[in-house]
Amino acid sequence: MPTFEPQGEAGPVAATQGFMRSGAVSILRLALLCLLLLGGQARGQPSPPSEYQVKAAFVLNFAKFVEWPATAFPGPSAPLVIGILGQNPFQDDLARMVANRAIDAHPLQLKEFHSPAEATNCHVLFVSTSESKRLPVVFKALTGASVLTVGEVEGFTETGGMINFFREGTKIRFQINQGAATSAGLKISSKLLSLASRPGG
Amino acid sequence: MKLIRDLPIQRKMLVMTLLICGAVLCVAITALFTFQVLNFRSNFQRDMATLATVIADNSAAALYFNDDKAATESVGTVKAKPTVLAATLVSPDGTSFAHFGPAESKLGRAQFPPAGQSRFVGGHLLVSQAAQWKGEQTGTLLLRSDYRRTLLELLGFYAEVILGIVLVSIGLAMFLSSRLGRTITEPVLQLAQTAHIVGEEKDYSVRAVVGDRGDELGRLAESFNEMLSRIQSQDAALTLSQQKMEALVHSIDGIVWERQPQSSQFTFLSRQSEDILGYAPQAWLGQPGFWEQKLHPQDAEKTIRTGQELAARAQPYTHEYRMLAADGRTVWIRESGTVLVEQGRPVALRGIFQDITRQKHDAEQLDKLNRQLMDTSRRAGMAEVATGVLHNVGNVLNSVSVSATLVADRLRRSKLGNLRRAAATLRQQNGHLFEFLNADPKGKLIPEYIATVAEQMSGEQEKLIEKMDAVGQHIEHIKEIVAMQQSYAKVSGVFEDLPAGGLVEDALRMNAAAFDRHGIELVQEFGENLPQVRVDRHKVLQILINLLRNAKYAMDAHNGHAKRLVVRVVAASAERVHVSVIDSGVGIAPENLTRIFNHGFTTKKEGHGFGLHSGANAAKEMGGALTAHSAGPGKGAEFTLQLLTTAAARQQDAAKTPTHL
Repeated sequence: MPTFEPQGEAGPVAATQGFMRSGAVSILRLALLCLLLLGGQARGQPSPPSEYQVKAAFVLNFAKFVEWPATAFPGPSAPLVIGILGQNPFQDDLARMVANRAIDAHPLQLKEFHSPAEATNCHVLFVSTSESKRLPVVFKALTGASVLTVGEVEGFTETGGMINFFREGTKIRFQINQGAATSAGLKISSKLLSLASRPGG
Repeated sequence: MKLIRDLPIQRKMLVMTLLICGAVLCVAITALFTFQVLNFRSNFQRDMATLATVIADNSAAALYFNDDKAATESVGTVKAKPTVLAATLVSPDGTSFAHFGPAESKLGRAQFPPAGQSRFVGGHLLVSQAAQWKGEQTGTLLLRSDYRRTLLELLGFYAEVILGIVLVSIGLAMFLSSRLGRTITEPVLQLAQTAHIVGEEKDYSVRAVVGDRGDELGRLAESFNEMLSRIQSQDAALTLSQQKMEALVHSIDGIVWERQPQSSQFTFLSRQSEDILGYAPQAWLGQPGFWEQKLHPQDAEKTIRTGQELAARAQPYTHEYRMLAADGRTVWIRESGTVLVEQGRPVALRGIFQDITRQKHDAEQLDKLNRQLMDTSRRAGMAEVATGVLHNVGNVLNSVSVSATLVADRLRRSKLGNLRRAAATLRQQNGHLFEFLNADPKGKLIPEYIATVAEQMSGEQEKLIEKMDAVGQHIEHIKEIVAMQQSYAKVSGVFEDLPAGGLVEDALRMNAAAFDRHGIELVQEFGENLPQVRVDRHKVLQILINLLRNAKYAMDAHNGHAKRLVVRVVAASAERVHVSVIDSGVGIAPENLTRIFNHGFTTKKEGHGFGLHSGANAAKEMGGALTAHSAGPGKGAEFTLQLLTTAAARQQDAAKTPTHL
């Protein structure tokens, strides 16, 4: 930190320095210290987040940009259920993120399903790559239910899925099939839509 | 302020209008300007806050999904606002996620206020806005915009607009002022011009023409014109009256003049100077010292000195002197003048020279006549005294005559015959006288008879001696009166120191018989220790006799009333002795009290009217006075002769006589 000693020559610079010295400098110093500490912590983490850590966060965030019909929740504080159909690729990352969190007063709940018929009552359903062979069956089973389906296989949206992850360089991107969501009674925020990749884009 | 005061009224109105407009504009513009700047500042702040909110809102999702491209796009929309210098989207971990313009340095970021607030720092507006979704903060947008430049641009624009407004306002004000002002200035100028013409050319026939106006200026012009016409008529009247006045002044029988108080430089002379002295006013006016030159040589010095003294007194004055006319005549002049004083200083002398040569001549004649009259009067007075004396002498002679008749009668009826008869009887008995006396019965009676006769005769003798004594007394009285007359008939003018009482007694004695005859009760009240008076005995006696005679007449005329005459002599003061003659006669009417001393005034049938007049004059000559008093008709009168005491007369003499003698 540079120290500003009062100097003989008076002037605007000196005045500014004088002002800076009084209170602002101490606040500034404190803020910088905090930033350094936080930065240290951030830098202290071993590596950038893994693919599924990002995807888990995305899945959670999707729930924030989607509106379910009123019938989807039995009550105002009914849980918002996030389901995983098939093999769980998130290990326990998603479970950790969901724990003790709520969206619009709906506490989050994570459930793992093995058959699509079980998943009709959940709100967000991550369809694992293990289910890629029976996607039409899954979508058929979920017909009429207000379930936001999220997948990560090519052609997921084309077959009736709503949001599909894909990689673009090092980044995880996603595309949205708005028609499927609308027919399921879901309203996807335009903000989310604007972030989604255009089909073929 | 003096500059504005001397400006023509039209220019003045313009300046005033501009000043007022300017002042109003200044205030309005300053207020508007301040309001606009403050408004702009808060608007700017609000705009930027809104922009930050919108961008942060739009960037919230991009932050969630770590979409830096979308975030950059979203942040990039600020380029629509050219005032925005930089926009930086900072993720919760403090890294710069996306930015527009230069990314904020650490120091730059530190200047930003907490999220949701804005701050002006060094001409920049720093807005910090949280990007959040559903209550969850996903990052912070830092927006830096150039406030100062925008403000300066705005100020420049305002300056141009204000300049334009001011110019247009001034132009409009000048136009309106000259247009509207003309309705005020034109009549004023018209009035001023008219007043100028009136002042310069003294032409009161001009009129201010301002048209038919109902306002104050119209009324002013109307009043001005009215005033002009009044002045015009007054001027005409003044000229006329001046002409009249001049005619009057020049027709006055005397030279009306005006001159400077110090020098004898005349500034005005009426034309009579030509008639009276033969000098034209022009010759006189143009020549200082003219008047002094034309004074009579014998009077010149005294007249100039007297004139200066009188003028210095600053009061109306009159003095008389002689002047030499152009034809060499000597003209007596009576100068009457008034000193004109302004603010305590004499500024001019005005007056009139009157030719009194004729009066002077007349006065001389009058004086001569008066002296003759005085002589006559004195003679008449002496005659009066003589009459009194003769009257008294006559009275006394009457008594002498009566006494003589009585003596004669008594002598005629004397018993001397009886004695003679006795003597004859005795002669017849010559030789035998003894027997006769002893024997004859007749003879025996003789001695007795003789004794009786002798007794009778001795009584007669006594009576006669008595009578003769009375006659002697009367004759002595006559001698006295004659001697008195002789003593008063001496030439007057000799002053003597005499006892006042003696003179009064003499006067009374000369009238005593008359008082007796008229049944007048005389009361003498003589004061004690009367001082001597210095008088002309003849004059005093004349005055007193006149007063006593008047009193007698007054009481005779007052029929049926007690006739009481009081003669009182008192020492009124150390200087005066008062001799009062107080009668109970007809009195004097108040209007006559002042006239009784006039020459020729009388109330008596046979009076000549100079008794009291000459009496008063004589009293004055002696240093005394003669006064009259009466309570009114029928209430008697009191005449008082005041005489100077010897002591007072000596004092006066001493005062008159130079002390070194």
